[in-house]
Amino acid sequence: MNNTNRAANRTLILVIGLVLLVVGAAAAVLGVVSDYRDAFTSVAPSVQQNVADFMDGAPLAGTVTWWHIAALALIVLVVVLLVIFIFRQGHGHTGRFVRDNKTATGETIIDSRVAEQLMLESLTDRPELVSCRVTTYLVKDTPVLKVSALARRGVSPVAIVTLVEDRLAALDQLLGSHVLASVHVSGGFRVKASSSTRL
Amino acid sequence: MTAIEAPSRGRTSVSSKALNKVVSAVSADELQVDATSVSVDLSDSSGKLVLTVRSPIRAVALGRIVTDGSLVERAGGTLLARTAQAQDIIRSRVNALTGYAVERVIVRVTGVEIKQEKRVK
Amino acid sequence: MSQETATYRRIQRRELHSSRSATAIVVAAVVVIALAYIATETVLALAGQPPLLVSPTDMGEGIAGVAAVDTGILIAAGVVVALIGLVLVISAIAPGRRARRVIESEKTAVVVDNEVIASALARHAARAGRVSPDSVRVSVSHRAAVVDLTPASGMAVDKDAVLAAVQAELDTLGLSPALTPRVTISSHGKVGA
Repeated sequence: MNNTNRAANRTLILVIGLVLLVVGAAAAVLGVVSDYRDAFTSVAPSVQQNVADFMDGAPLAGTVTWWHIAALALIVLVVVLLVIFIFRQGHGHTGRFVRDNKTATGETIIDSRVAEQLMLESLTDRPELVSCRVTTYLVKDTPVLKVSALARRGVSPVAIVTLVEDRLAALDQLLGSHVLASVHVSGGFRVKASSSTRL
Repeated sequence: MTAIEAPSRGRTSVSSKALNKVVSAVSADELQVDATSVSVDLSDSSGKLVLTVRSPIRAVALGRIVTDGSLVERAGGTLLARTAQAQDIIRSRVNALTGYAVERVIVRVTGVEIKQEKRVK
Repeated sequence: MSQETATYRRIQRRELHSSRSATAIVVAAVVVIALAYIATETVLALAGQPPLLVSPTDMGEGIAGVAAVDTGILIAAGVVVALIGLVLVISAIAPGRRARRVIESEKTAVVVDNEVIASALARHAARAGRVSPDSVRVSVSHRAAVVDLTPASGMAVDKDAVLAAVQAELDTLGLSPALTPRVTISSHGKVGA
């Protein structure tokens, strides 16, 4: 769970999907209906020639024209945007908690690391959990602490939730400010039931 | 340490490095951590001195707070209260030790040093 | 609705549905590669160099003459491309529900994997049915929890007791969407379980 722009993901998939759907359907229809095929064969080469002539229209140097440059620039722009899009996936984990107490003479900022360290320490070596991960991310500019707990086999999820919520309340008390948190309990049958040997 | 009195003739100035060390020491003291963990930034804001302190803070483990509701109060109060208090103390002690007036203290808590209960094994 | 509740609702909604991140990355990557290739061919052609595979003019002529391609191939290719497009469109529109659900809580936004619920129910069912936990299989779907018990040979299992135990556990969980339990006792048992 993170901050990836879900709407953007689905929009991109939808747009490309529609393009493929339309192009594919058009090609299939071309194959099926001979009238369309004939019409296409007669019209397409002149369209292609027109486009090529248009592109050759405003010369820059040699065979290169402004339209070529514009087309290349557009392609580069789209590629850059998409690459940024790819690398933005899965991010949104934030470093600052920003519990801010701003006065004229002073300011306090608490890093998210503080809340994460405190929660992680309190949930380590608990018999109900195999492991636990605490991260912070922003939901509409609000920092939210996310606790991902791997429950031991057979443990009731309510036990885990109570465990985590008690510690979150303690965190609120210790910080002096309310923390928004989300909990994800995973685990189940594939997790071993017995606790590990401690030496 | 007594306050530095402004001499009637001449001028005393404290080097930025010395000032840095003073702020680090006072902050480490207030936040109950080692001075080596503290990082201090001194800056000027229209002629006024602004301190930015980056440091972890000592805190009790959450598990202990769950079982003991009054522990936070007894251990010095909430983190926000402690940092607010630290700002005031840093300001006044730096002023007392160096003579400089501090306009603003920004405390950035970068982590926690969790007090473990001493266990008898 | 307070700001906090609104934020929690938002988080829950996001946790319960797929972000389509993987598909989006693949789609974006393919588009990037295709565009980069076209750009490369264009640059090569403008610089008077031979093309890597197909020069842009040849591409244009190829598209213009596509109708001359054998109609069988044209239809087949068209259908394949359209199908890929359809799959993507469906992927974009379908909700993509994940195998988890919400545990109602006033303090935080809680989401639990179905598997965790299943293993907790299995433990309670095994105890109520007096069989070993290995003799119980639980599968949790969107609305139902199906408990399948294999009794020990020679020892009957009280189906009502098992159902009551499972229902009791579900009641303590406060799940949303709620689960309806169903218990089936296998007609053949396991010896010495």
